[in-house]
Amino acid sequence: MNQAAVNPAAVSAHRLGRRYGKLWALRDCSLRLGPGSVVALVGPNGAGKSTLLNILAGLIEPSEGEVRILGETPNDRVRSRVAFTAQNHPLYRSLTVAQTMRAGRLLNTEWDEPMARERFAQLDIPLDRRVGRLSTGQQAQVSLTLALAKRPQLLLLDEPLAALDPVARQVFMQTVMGAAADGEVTIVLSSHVITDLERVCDHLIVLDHGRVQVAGAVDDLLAEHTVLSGPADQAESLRRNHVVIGASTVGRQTIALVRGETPHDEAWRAEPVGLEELVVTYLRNPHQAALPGPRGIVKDQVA
Amino acid sequence: MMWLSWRLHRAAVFTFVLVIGGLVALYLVDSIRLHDLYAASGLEKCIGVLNDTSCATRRQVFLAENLGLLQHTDYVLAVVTGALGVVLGAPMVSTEFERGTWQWIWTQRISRTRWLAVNVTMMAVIIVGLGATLGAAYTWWYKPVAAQTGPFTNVSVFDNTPLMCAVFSLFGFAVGVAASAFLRRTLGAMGITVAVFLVTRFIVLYWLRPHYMAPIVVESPANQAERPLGFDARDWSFHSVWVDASGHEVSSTDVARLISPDLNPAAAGHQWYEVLQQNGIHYYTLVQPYQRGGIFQLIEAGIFLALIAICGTLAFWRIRRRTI
Repeated sequence: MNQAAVNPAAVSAHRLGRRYGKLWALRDCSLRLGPGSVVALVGPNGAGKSTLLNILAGLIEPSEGEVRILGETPNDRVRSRVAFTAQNHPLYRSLTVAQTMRAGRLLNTEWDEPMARERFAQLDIPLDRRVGRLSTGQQAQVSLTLALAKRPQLLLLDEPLAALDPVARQVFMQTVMGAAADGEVTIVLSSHVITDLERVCDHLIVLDHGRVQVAGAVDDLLAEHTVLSGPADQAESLRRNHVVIGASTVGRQTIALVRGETPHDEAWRAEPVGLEELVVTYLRNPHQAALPGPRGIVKDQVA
Repeated sequence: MMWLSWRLHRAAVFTFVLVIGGLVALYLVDSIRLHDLYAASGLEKCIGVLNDTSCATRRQVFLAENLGLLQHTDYVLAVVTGALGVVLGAPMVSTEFERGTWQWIWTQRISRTRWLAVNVTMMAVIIVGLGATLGAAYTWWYKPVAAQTGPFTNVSVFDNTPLMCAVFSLFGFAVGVAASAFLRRTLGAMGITVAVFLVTRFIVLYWLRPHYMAPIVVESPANQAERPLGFDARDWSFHSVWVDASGHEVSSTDVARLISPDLNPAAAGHQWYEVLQQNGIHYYTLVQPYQRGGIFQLIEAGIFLALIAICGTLAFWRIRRRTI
């Protein structure tokens, strides 16, 4: 297997765009997802997350740009190594779990039936029940199990937690984490709330208005950014001399998120940033971007 | 894939098997009665006889009195053959979108064109089988009437053979699948399909069918029977006008004027047809001989098969293009 030797990116996208009529759902999206990473794809509703995932899953073609999945342009063979669960986990509601499993086996070349059966047993999901009569959480689990049974190298989960209650979320994420720990699979999970994904993901992509605003390893992003609090009257000088992503002033105190170098000034108190705060600050300041490569370090890049 | 396709469509198929099975049973049972009555009616001798009022009357009486409850089932048949295609075809792609399952089925190893090919082939075989069975039962039941009317003068005879039923059903199915692939909404696809199906069938029936082959011209004198003669009763006279001796068309107003003693004193004391005969005015009729029924059906089936191929190509083209 020289594929392993070459070790291609799970996903590499170059200036990907997707237009619906005159409206661009996704624009100028360049990404590289390393094998084995667990990626949180975050952004407000309508940011283009589903469009991006649909393109990666090979369901829709980009209007412009290029995408390579596991080193290849999307094709039938690649599709067998990619698993996708769409929002709301659509499955044939009239089929029983066993029949759905049978369909998955017949429609794929690679199929891990024992794993699927074992998981259904663990989760107490009755095989003879119709999918439409399962709880939302169970449907999500069936959907995820079918995706995992393909033994995918790339697992794409679109808003997997959206309809789930807290308990179901936890059980679902345990499965995802198990799959991530198991091996080579690259996992992309989308959500409009980062808190859902914070504990599992090692990479973050923030999409807004169809553009990639932040992309990088979570550890790097957290290390690069600092929350500063200090006197409001010095906010201007902070802005001039440092990369301020966003700042808010309450009374005489300003709290700012800064990327890179921080001032050696005792007036400013530095604290590490949380992932949620980082995401929210970027989303509130859409002209700011944190991207790998030269674009990422351009200050105040105006879109 | 076949298994899944069958599993998802079998309820609809079973419904049609029930409906069509019921109709087939009715036709087969009733055919015993109808065929006996026909044998007893002595109409056998009237086959092809045009200029005989007793034959014409006995034909009418037989049709009016003996067809019974199934008399108007040719309409039912037209609806069922159409519905067979429309109901099975129009949801084919669109329900996947409405249920969201396209995102599951089209991300499995099997390609989406293969998915469509398996679905369409399986349903096409079922539709052709059901349509042809229904057509066969009707044709058998209707055999005595068909013997009298020929394939053309009675649309039910032409349209309800196994071949034509199967082709019409398949056409509805093909339009349904294509509409489904483009619209992605079942109701919309059904509406479009019904409209396209009906309009196409009407255009073919009334505009195209008479012209598949050059008609035979029959010129016949005005006569007591008040109708053009000179051809078989089963032949299709689809265009008949008055012409004068030099072959120019004469309007019915002019004919009326000519035979009216008030307007034309020369007509007084003569039968109307005698007046016309004296003036050289006669029937000019375009006729398709009844023997051409089989070849016309093949031609019409060919036209619909070509349309089916176009619809199929469009559907596959639309599915292949990965655009939403």
